[in-house]
Amino acid sequence: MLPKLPPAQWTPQMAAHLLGRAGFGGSPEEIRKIYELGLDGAVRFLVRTPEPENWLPPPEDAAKPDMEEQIEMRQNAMAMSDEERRMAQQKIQQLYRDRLIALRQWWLERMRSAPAPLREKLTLFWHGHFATSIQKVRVPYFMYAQNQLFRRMAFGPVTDLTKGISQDPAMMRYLDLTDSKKSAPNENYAREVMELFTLGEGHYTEEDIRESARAFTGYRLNRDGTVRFVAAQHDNGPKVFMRQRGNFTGNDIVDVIFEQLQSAKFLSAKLWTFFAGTPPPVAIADLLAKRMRENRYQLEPWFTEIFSSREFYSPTVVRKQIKSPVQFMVQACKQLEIPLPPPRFLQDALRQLGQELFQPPNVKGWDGQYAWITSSTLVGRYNLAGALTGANPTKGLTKPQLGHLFPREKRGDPERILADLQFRFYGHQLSPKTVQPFREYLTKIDLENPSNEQTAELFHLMMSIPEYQLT
Amino acid sequence: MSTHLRTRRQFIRTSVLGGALSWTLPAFLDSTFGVMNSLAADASTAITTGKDSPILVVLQLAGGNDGLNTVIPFTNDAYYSARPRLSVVGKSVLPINDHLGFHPNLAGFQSLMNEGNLSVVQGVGYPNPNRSHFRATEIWQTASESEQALSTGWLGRYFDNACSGEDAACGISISGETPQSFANRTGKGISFNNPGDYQLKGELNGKNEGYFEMANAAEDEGGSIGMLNNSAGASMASSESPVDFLRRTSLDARVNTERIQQILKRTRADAKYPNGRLASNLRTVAQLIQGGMSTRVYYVSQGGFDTHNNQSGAHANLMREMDEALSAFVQDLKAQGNFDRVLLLTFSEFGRRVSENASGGTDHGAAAPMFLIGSRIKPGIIGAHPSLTELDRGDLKHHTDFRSVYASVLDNWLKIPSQTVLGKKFKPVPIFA
Repeated sequence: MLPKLPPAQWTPQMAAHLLGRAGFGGSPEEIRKIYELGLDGAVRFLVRTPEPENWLPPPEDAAKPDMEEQIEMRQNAMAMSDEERRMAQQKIQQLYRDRLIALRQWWLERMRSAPAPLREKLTLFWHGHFATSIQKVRVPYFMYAQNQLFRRMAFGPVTDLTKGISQDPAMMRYLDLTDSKKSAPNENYAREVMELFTLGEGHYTEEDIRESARAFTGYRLNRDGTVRFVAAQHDNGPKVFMRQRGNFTGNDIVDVIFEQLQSAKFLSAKLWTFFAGTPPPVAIADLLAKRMRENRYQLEPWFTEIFSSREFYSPTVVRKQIKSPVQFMVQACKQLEIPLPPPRFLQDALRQLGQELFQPPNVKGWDGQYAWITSSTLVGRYNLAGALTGANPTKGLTKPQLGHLFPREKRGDPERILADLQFRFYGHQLSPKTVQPFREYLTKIDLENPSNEQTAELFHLMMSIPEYQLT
Repeated sequence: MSTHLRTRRQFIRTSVLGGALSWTLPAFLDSTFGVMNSLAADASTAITTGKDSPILVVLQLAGGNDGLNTVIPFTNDAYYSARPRLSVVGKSVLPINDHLGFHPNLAGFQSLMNEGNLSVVQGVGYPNPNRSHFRATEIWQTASESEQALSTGWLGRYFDNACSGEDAACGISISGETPQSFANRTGKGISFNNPGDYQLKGELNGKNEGYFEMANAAEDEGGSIGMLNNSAGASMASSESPVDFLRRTSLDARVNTERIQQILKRTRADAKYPNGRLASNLRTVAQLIQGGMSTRVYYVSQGGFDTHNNQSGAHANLMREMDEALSAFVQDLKAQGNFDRVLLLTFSEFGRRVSENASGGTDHGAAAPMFLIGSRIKPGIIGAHPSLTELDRGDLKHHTDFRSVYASVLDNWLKIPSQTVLGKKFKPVPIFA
């Protein structure tokens, strides 16, 4: 077992840390509730709370496999003029765009309001891990169906999730499984399933790729989003894969992969890095892998152990992760206690910051951490903070209730206000020197009766510093 | 806090106005600023002398460009038999000589070559080629051996060795992420995606600027824990804590947003660029060159080359996009009078398999051509087309190491001994006239 965090070290700051990593942060009130559960209670709550029945159903249109317009077009295609066909195509493209925006909004709203947000955080992890982009998949329904697969199987077993993704319509389209056949297998999926999804580069041979590509042949996509197996297109011959010989199917290949110790090493390190912000220290890397194997890639016990471990709360982990754009957005809304911005604003802002949901840059997903930040995405974050706080008034956005975040009864005591606001925005107290500009700002305004603009600008300032980018 | 960051802050405090305004102020004023502070002098010299220095523009063709359908051996039977569906028929290729021709959508490339401004280096690769996008890209970006991991990029090592002063804008990447080739030890290089968004809005850039500057410059916390930063996207390869990295980036942003916005406001394109991301990024590069940035290396990329299925139309569109964008860029630079200062180089992480696959596409391959555009290059085809029959596991074999091309660019264009960047001598490629 990993050494546990001693109970005395469980503080509101650590509760903020846990909620930030296992979820998307929270208001001071939400953090207080997590804190009061105690470490064990908080971890149990995050790992074990099931999703409420029928909670936040998807936008109806986006969750349908096919569209009337498409069916109609297919039926009438022969009778249509070129111009009519072009118009019909355009209409479908527009509907696709609308549905994609609705899906993004829906998922972000789930992140923002999930009572136990770890499942949504894991869904985001799996999306970046089994990265698949709407740009090639085209059909929003396929992205939705994949998203539900990630959500349903968020806690594993990862073996089953990997089998699921091997026959997931969006992935099949993205990595060209849909027309891979016996006479000419496509290697795209076979390569990435090992390189990026399970083992890592250098732990397989080019021969393993060629052989396993044969095993993944013969799966075909139906229009309704189901998958059928076409035996005639499948290469049923013997294959040699990872020094084993057999008439392997795709699922057999996944089983062989997960027999390798390397797959546990690879996946446990990647999961740790996503949640802790830095790669696991050498001293615990093997143990993380061992635990994952012992639990047969079922993740609830694994997460219980890491979220309770002393290592997860060490100074090399706490406040050393650079927020992803999605984390920045959702966490800022929770801290400011505002709803999400409207769908189009949301979509544009996340594009500018470099993380478009359902549209990762390539099959490797987002690199994360330092890669989120360029001089322009940092400026973009500062500007976004201006919009969300209301300091730079923006049409369609709900302004925070400044009287609630900056309560009248505390205004007589600037130090108390500063301490409260620091906990709200950073989950802990910054160094005196970093806080000094805020303190000076407070001396320049009428504390008893600040204008809304002055208060909003204080929040904008506090959110527009390097430290705010960390969680 | 690193010494490096502190000196950069001093530079900003004392000389940001001097440096940033050097193109708008009369020369005597500029030099006055320089005299005021030796650090500033260092930086403003870099800016003024930068105007005559050679510039390298790197274009990444991301995803693995199909070199074989870019520079086409149109008289070779093996080409047609390996690609019954994907081959480009002989009569539509744009001939370079009696056996090689450009893809039909590369008319601009053909003209550039005829004008003596484009060369094709054939059969470029490296021993024991890797067919993973990410590893292969890393090899090209860091200029490493196939089995070697380097933490800095080849352009980053150039910055470390050649860019003095505290100006991070020595390299500019117009992209959402910093390319790995920029990774370096002295904090050089900036990246921005959409220039229109690259400016701070509201009162933090107005009446509350003082608080904002102070809050972004605080430097007494968090800097002590050195963390190994191996991230592909970060430009600083040394151990730098996240908060130090953020402070440095914030500083670079505060300095550069303003000067870049000013340049973009007062310059405009001297050529008609087509639509599309690549063209607009190249237009931005041309404006920054015209505006007198001291930048030595610009980086842009074009994506979508991973053509595993239905390659034909997709690749043709990519070829057209690249051809039209680069043609406009060259025309613009010529109109500005800056073309002689600029060398453009393309690379892709690999070529593609010689035989087409069942999906009407091609899988990951190995050797491929590189393109160089400039007025001082030796135009034409450099090196033989790799054999289509003697293959390595279905892929073209390289005969020219990509680091030989880098070495020639470093030695002969950027004028820095290539071994300081590449670690050893590579056999030069005769790419300059």
